[in-house]
Amino acid sequence: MPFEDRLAQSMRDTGEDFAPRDLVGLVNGGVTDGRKRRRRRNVAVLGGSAALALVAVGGAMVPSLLNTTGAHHVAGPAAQPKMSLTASAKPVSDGELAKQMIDTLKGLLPSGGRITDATGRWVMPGGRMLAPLASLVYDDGHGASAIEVGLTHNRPGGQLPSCANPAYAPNDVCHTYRLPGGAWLYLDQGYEYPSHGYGTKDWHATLIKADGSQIDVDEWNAAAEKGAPVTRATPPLSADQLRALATSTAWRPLLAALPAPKPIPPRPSGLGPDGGAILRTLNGLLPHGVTGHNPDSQSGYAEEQLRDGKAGAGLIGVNVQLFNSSEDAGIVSQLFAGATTLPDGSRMVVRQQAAEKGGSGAVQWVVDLIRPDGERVVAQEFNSPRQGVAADRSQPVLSIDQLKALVTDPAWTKLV
Amino acid sequence: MKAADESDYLDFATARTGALYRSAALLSSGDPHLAEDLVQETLGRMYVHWRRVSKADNPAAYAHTVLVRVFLSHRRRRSTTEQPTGRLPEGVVPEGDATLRLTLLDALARLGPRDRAVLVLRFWEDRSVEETARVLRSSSGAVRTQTSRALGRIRSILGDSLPDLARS
Repeated sequence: MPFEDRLAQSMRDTGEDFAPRDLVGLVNGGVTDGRKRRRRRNVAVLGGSAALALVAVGGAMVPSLLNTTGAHHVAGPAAQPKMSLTASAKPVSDGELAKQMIDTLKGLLPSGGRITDATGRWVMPGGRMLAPLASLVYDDGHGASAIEVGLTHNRPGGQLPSCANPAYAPNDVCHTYRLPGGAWLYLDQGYEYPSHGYGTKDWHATLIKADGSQIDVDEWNAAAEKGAPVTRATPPLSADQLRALATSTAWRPLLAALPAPKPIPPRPSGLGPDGGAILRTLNGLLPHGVTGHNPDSQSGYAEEQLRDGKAGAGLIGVNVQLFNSSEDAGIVSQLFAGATTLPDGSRMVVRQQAAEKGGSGAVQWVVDLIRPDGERVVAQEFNSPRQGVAADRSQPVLSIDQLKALVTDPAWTKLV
Repeated sequence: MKAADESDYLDFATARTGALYRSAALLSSGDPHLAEDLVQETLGRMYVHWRRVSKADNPAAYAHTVLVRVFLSHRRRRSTTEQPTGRLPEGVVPEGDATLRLTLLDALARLGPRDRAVLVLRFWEDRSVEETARVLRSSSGAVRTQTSRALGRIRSILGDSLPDLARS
């Protein structure tokens, strides 16, 4: 048998034996990931074509927040994680829970409105996938609006929703609140497409209780999320009404019927040096007269807007990563093909191009450096305050020579 | 997302997650945490574009394309800590075959991510050279070259252990 056939056979033998440990959890995690992405995808993102790593702006991670409290509101079924796959042991039928979903939502809306297209769901058809949802179209006389409520139960220690930095989501009014009892409330009055600042509005509340159970409420100023005309200036429920709907005790029995997910063991992780340290290093290297504004960071990445007091603002983002010289040799040689080799053995690639996410007159300058020890520092600079918007000045704030000096500065070596 | 779309999406995700996870397990050379992360991110990306993706000719194949791209970008982001070892958690693989499979996973772990991706696409997902080139945003010629290089590398790592594996 040729080697390729033997390899294919052994890959089949090996691959076929893998199975996810928690399929339902994985799918739910995907939905949660997707919802977050959808809300935030138009928020400024760095990275892209040239294999530049990272990524989303704004999300401060609070990894252990949800498991610091001993308070547990969920009783009964929560103690039986297996129930995520089966309805058999439930005292209340899935059909009844689905009805309670929609009845609860209806009961919490201001009276006098006209309700159509009301649907309640507890599990997906087939009965295996838990996906509680209530959705309807509500018209208080000023225009029809879609309203949806979903329930989920996160793993303790999950990521909390956080407001994007207003500099990058200028059209949103967003707040997070810590509530008595350890719950977090996230309220965002934004747009279906956040970067537009026009069209369908999507106002949203997320309540995450201390035990990880979560209520998501969305309301639109249209009868459907997308593809339906705007019917009114804003969605029908005010921020206070949204808050009241999400925090209502009426959801309690339904949340209590949600099985808690199985915890997964923590693992050592790290996406790179601490973002705060990257930001401090960046600020320490800015030339005299240049100031940073609206900083944002996450592991391995930091960004901020730069101003020099003369013209408008420009965006700068810096990734710091560590590559393994043997393990990552392939990708490194690909990333640094055609690089200039510096006296200390570092390799550097410089690109000056139109901004990859567009914006009238916007340019993107990149200095990508890898040191002999594998530390990679990539700085990207724009002459616009965010990605994807028009230029705010003729050139980025730092000249290309200043950007090179910043990236090659030995201060970065202290981070890894 | 509309309730009806979400329902379609969940059906799709539930049906495809197992297959995505198997590919992810090979791409991650047996790291269950990384495999889960890759699948979750893939599902998240599919969710975002579901309305468009669901109308595509083959959403399942597209999901695997997304997975490989997520893997390649993920691998770059996480290269500080990810040290593939080919370890396999207990209970994932039937005991008798564990050693032999570890040999393959270990060999995959010692390849670069693009080599691993090209082998998984060509020999596990059975993609054509042209399809593989599309997934990797590369040319057919480059994929042929990369495939033969990756085959050479894994062959030199595996030595003669593969025939035993294939007979198992």
